[in-house]
Amino acid sequence: MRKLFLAAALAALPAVASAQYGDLFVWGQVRYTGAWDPYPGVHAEVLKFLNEVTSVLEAPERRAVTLQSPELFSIPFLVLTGKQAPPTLSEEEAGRLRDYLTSGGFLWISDASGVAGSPFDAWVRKTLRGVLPDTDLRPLGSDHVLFRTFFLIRRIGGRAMVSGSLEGVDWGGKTVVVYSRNDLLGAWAKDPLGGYLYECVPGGEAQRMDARKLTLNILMYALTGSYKADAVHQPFILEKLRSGLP
Amino acid sequence: MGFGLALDSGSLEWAAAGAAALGYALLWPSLRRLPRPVAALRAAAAALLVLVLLKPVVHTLEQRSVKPRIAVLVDQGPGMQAVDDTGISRLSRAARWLVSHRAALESRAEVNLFAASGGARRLSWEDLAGLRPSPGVLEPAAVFSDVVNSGLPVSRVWLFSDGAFAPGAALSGGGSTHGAFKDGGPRAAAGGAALDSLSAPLDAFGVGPQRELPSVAVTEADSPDFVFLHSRFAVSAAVEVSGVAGRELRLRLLQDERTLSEKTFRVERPFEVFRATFPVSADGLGRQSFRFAASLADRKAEKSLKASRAFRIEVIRQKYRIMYLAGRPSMEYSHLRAQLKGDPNHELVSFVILRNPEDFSPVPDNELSLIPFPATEIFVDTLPQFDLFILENFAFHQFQLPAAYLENLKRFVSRGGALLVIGGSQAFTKGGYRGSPLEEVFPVALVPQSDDFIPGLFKPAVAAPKHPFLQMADTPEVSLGLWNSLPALDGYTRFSEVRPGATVLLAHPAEKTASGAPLPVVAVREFGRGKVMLVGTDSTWRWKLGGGLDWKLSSFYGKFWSRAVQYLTGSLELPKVKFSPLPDRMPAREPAVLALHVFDEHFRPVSGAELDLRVVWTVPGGAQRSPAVFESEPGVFQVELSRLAEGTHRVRAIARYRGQPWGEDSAEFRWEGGRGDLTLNRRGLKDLASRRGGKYSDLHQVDLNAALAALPPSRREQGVGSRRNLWSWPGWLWLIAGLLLWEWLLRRRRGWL
Repeated sequence: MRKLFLAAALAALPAVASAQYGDLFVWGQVRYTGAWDPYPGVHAEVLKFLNEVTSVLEAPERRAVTLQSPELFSIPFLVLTGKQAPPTLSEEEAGRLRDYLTSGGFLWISDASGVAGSPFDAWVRKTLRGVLPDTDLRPLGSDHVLFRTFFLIRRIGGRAMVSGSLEGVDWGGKTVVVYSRNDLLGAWAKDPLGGYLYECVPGGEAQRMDARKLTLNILMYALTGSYKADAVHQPFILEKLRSGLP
Repeated sequence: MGFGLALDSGSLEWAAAGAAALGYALLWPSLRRLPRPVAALRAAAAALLVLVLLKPVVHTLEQRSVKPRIAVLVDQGPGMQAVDDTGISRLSRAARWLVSHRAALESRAEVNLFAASGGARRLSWEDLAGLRPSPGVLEPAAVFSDVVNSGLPVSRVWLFSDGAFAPGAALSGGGSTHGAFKDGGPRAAAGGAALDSLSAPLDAFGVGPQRELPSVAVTEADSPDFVFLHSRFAVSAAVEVSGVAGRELRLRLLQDERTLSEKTFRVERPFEVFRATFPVSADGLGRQSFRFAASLADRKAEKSLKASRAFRIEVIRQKYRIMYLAGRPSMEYSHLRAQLKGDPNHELVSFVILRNPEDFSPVPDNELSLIPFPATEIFVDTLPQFDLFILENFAFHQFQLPAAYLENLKRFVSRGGALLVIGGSQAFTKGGYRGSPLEEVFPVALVPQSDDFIPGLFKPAVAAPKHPFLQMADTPEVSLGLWNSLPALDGYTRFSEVRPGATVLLAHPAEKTASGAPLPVVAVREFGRGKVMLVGTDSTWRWKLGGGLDWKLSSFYGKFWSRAVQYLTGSLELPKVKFSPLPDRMPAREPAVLALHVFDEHFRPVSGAELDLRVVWTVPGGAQRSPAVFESEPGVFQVELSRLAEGTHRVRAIARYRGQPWGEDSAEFRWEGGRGDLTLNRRGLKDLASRRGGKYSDLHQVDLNAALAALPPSRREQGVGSRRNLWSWPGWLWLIAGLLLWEWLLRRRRGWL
């Protein structure tokens, strides 16, 4: 609560311009022509959970930017989501996204369609091939540090189980693009009364909890990198994994 | 006397004779039908023609005596102008000795004289008397190669020299010549190969002082350029002593005039070389000064019989062990951790507080990857193992840790550790550091208000443009341009004041401290033996991300933090350009060679292709020259100085690496020319002679008969006395014509037409 108050107080400072957040985590989201924001209130749910569970301090409002926005290079964490394929990136947009990713930016792409082989999925694969032609979009192995950045994750959840794994693009020893196809954000979406908008199929609430945990791990990966791959953590993590996780 | 017959024909003559014989053979079926006398006459004419074509010669054979041939090499190098204790120069002494023994020499051998310096040049006996020293020192490789290439089959080589070979030309493993330069390298290899190509034994005749004057000289100081902290290494010295037989030599190794170790030697012979190796421990960082001091151990020792040689060793860290403790996950932590982790010279241990005690846990503990916060291990147990401790936005009070931990951290810094404090809302006053033991270490005093961290974009101003840490580019102007073009940072910390002795590197463009000074954003200070850096914001990741917008800034972030670690751990100031140690007085030989070592930021040798090296040589009188410089091996550059004038010479090397100023070093030495300060290098000459199966003698003690006896005896051989070319007699043509005429007349008379 105290952190929320602080964040709110900082956000209310009249001198604070749009890109000023001090040392707070900022949810950045890519805005494009079309349905770029299928779950408008989800970021607040995610950030609330992040605040309650971790020590991260976050800015309450998100930053929505286009790839041509001058502010792109001041937002190190970006979400790109949609149910339909976004417009094809122009050469300039692709170049800026490449520069963004290769200079320390992080992009989480979430397919909100909930179906395999969706137009969004085809767009993602084609676009990433053009943006980072020297690297491939590959499944993240179960030993990827992202699955242990905060929660120890054995299953990935989501609103719809389209894929059993995440995919990612590595650059400079770090996964700079994480791609989820199970509509992770859809699992967070709520109606005005606070109830969840969508069922998680086929796993129900356990699958929703997996989605929430994975979402938070993605954020923590952006904030800590390979921290949990350090040797000092391994004995503890292995012991916990051996102790019988669900 | 005897006679011999030979054919003097060449390939052309043999071909012509063969063609004649072949033609005759082809015509034989028709010839055999001819009457026998006709055929016989024709065959006789043809045989005679073939014989003449083969050019027969007849010679007389005589028995005669052949003397062995010796190549006499007279060193013409600058050291040979030394007068010593004889009143005439070494070169004149060698020449006079040869001239005075010319008759004896020539009675026993065929003598071929050579002047030897940068090569071997044939001399006549008349030239020998007028031979003058040359500026070029004797280069054995070139000299022996010239002798071999002269084509003279010599039975023995005599070398008259003082042993002042070219630097690096020591031919055996015995060490340097005159001790000023380390041996080895391409010159030594080439010299060794040329020496091996000499098929004849080599005798060396040392031309130097006849009387052994008491002397002590530290001729070699062998040490590594860089060593790692806490490692043990060895330094060795060679001391040449002469004229002090029966006395004791004392050799000490001193560091900052404090004796580390010493050894004594009993001098048994008139001339001896002592070698000693001392183990040393690298306990302090940075440049360490050492000195070998040699003297006679007894009290009666003359004051002049002392010698010393100073050298420097840079002590560096092999890896920088860094502890990085962050108060919470953040972009600053993510980027800085990746930056530090990506440097192979860093050994990083990091902890970030993922969850505070008051945070809610939606799952059992065994579903979290968290580990207990090892506070005691970090602040007490393992702290001394680290070189740098980073505190980023860590709220100390939040974990109710004992103040003794911060006291321990303060002690860590005062004993030489480095501390980097990175800002954020909990980094300073709100984190519980105000009034703590650690606040004394900071370059600033903290404000009493807990809301000391202010969000807001700002571009820090460079407050100390000449500080080496801020030199991010080729020139201060370009560097300043880079600083000014950086993206804005977000969030800064208010401080009460800057502590005396601290240096503000970057300041807020508008905000002031409580005392009215520019508000520090980056400040440094030294505390005890350690260094402290304060960064009042945790948004430097914006510089990294901003590199995507401007290629000129793409490496700025990495460079900034890399230099920060180097500055804090002391390696930024360590010289990466340095001359090898020189003796106070250089030996009188040219070219004088200085070795310059250049290292990169990780103290690895720098390739010449990436280096822009400018060397300025200031000669006595103040004039400046540009000497020849070449890369002898990666990271080692030889500076050759020729035509040296007597007096003090200064050489300054300025290096730019990958377009950036990299460092400079200067060396100074005294040159006294060939005034006789050179000792006779008996060791080098002995090595040379023994390697080729010859002997060494001092010139004034040469036993000429013994030297001549070592020559192979004259041998009797049968040689050609006179020769007569039978084929050049014109009568052969008349004879052949007569035979053919006779054959024609015979056929006419007998009607065999």
